[in-house]
Amino acid sequence: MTGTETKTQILEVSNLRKEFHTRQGKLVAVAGIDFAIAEGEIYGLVGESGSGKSTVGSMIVGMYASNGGEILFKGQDIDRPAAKRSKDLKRQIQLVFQDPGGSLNPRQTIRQILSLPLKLHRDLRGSALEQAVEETVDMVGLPLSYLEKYPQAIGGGEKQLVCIGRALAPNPSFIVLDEPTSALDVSIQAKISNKLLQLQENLGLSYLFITHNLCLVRNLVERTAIMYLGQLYETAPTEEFFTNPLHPYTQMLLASIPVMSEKEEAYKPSEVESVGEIPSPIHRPSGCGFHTRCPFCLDLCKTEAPRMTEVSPGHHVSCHLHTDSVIKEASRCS
Amino acid sequence: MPDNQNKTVRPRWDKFKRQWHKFSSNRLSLLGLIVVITLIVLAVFAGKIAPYPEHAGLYLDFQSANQAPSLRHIAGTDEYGRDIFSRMLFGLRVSLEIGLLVLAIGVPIGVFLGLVAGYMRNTWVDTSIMRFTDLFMAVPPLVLALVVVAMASPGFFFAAIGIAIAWWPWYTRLTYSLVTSLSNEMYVKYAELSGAKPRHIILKEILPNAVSPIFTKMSLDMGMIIIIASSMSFVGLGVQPPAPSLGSMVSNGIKFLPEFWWIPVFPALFVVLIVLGFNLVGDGLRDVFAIEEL
Amino acid sequence: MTHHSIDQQPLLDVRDLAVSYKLYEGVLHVLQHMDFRVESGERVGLVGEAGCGKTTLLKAVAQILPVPPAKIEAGEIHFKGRDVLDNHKMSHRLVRRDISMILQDPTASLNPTLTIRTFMSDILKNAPHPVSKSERKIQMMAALEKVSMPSPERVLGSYPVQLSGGMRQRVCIAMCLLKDVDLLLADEPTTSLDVTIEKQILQLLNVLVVNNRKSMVLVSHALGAVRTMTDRTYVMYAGHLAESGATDTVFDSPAHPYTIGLFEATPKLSGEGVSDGIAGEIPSYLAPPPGCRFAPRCPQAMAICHEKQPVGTNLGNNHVVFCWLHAGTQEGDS
Repeated sequence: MTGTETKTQILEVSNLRKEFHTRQGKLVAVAGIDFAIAEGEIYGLVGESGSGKSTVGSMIVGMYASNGGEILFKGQDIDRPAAKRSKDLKRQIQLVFQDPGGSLNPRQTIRQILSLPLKLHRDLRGSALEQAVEETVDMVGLPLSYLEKYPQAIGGGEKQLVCIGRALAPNPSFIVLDEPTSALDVSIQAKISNKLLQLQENLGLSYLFITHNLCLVRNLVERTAIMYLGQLYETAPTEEFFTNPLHPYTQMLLASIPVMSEKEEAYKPSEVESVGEIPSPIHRPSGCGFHTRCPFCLDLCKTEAPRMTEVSPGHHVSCHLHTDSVIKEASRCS
Repeated sequence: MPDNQNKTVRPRWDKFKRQWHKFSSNRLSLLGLIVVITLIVLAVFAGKIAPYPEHAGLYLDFQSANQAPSLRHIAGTDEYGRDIFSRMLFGLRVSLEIGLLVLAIGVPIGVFLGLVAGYMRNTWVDTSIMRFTDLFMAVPPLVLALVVVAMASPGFFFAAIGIAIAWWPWYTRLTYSLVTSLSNEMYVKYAELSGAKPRHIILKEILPNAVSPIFTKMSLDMGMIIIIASSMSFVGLGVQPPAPSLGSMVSNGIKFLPEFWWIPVFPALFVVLIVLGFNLVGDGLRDVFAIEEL
Repeated sequence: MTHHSIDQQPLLDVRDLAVSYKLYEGVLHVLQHMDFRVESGERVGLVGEAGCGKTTLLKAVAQILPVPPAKIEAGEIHFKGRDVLDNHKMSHRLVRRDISMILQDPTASLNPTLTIRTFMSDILKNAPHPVSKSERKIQMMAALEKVSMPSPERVLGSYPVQLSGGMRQRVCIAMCLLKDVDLLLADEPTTSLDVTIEKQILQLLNVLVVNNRKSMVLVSHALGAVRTMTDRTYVMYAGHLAESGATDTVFDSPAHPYTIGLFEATPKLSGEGVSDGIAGEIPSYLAPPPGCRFAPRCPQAMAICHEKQPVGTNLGNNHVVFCWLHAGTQEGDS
């Protein structure tokens, strides 16, 4: 299930499931998804709220184990909480969160914040530690004087740079970025995005970039995948994804983005009306999770969940419309 | 705020200055602080300030008994001829000492248990500690303290122990809820993911963010503890005579109302002043540590 | 596309407004020389990044500025011809009655302990012409239907926590409808909503405003939303106006370097890559730059930009830009 057969896969996810038990019932956050990220690739995982994309990221970094399926990192099974992972593994997979303000301890200086991963992952002490801290700050483009400051004294973009530095300090090979720029202004988003790209190139990192911002993904990632209500519905190289979206949800999402110029309007699929609300993940619709809002819903969609098929090289879709031609002739449902 | 390269960076001092400004801009908090500082000075230097320090011990001078407030005796004299003002100062010292001792015993125990229970949430450790805490909270503090003192022997030390035993559960509860909510913070989760040891997480990540509410509570508690200590003295189970204690001064003096009103009234006013001072400071602290919003 | 009533004065006329905040660190001079105008039946956009003062401006208009620490230093606000800063009871009443505000976080605007029915009937009970209970019910249901609320009956009996974000925002809009205001201030109404829901809410707002001939101010940092929903746009930077004009003009030919930089930094659906962003940060309001507030970051700054604040230059068709680069090119009076 890869799109780039020539490169080695640094991360392979198969049939991944995650459920949470709430008072209202069983919440299926991730309902069996498959995808793979090649080494040195930037992979974008897109979805709205309730799509389960953050849960996927959480499982990869080890916040909790899955309820089914497999996560392979460099061929090794890593599906367990971080506490049970080897030290080396913990070092290799790092995380950048969305809210830079909340992810930095307001009672610690930047120096203390950056020292922690260096101590834990690279066993540095004393002057070696000092030097590594300074190198990290330098790498993300912040002045050394920032080391003695507290997080409240620096701006949002700079806080995020500290978070990125914290993720890079252990010399990882894979970083999960969960909405790293969503809380920032547009002009700062651009700077952070640039920094991320530059670092990725220089250090040969692989990124899993999780966001709901399609325009950002369009310009930043190499492959794009879209999730809805815990399922992965389409994945393709970014250019292909945006110029030839196949899944109705992808089309609906693209058609809904408010864009700034006529030029961009041309890139939006012809109006697929956005209707309805996202159903509750506790009471999932039967069959295909999207059928309640899908303008092309067939009878089959109500009963049977579609499977991922490769429609063209590297472009996979999970939709009954794109599987059998027989199905296409079936009657539409209301 | 953008980085001013010219200023030397002294983040802790700047933070303190700003907190002080916020605290002092509230007149009542400032008043409370002045009252508390004055009282502490009076208590510490009671021996030097009191006009008749020897009256704090055994002293009898029936000729000077029950004298109204005058220039010689600012608060008058009691039935034994002792200068009430001097006794008040020493009684104040006793009250503050009890308050500090109770907090010194009760807070570390309470906070420690709260930290442990909160960090090991949803395990048997959590349940056993918290239910144990509930047991102690089921009894009203004054009653519990009295029981302890009655079982041991009345006096300063056991009164403090008694109150401390009644007091620590509230700190456990407070710390527990603080730890529980702080554990959801991203930076704590990050430390856990990175494999930081529990000791580091509790002491370096969680505790520094929990101290503010704890300190606020301590200040507000001082007043309450002093009242309880005074109540215990009032019923004779606190500090024993002839050592002065504000509570016993009030209880002994009540029978002299309304003629020799100064005998209970001045000590009582002192208690009010102490409690008010600490409460105002505590309120001020709470405002300072509250999340700023603009 | 503006609905100009030629002889009437503007519905809302803000002139030379200056607002400051007094803090421990000093006085923040946020808004200065703000001119802002909304005609009857017009939809006006207000664009700018976080901290540029757009919320302050709206709050000043709606008279909900926290005074102190805020203070209106100078300027005038005329609503329906009346000076609302004159502290008269009638002015307050006018503002309360005819202006309504929709905030970014619908959860924060709705009291969690009251049912939707209570909110809505309270508005009706305090209306200039109170009606009977049954009539109120009819009006509430009608308002909910106008905002395409699914199962309105159930929603009336619900508490805000039981509704989704999109539904809560619809409730807020319905409440504005009930109140029958003349001016709707929408402060980032869709920022916390998913893209597909955002589109529905924006469309809804548009229809309601246009159909009922109301006026609307849409504040958003989502440029696409402003472009599709407004007739005129103001661009703000650090408490100053950078540019204003017909929306199409401003978006197709931005004149101010900040506007140009902002548009360029926004990731495009057409896939033009990641821009460099705008170097620097927004200035401190404590000690703002003496001249143009954007000068420290402006790639085309000249000597005069650092010394004197630019005056407005009319580039034709009421496209006004506050920039020394254009000062020589004015077509008539500024």
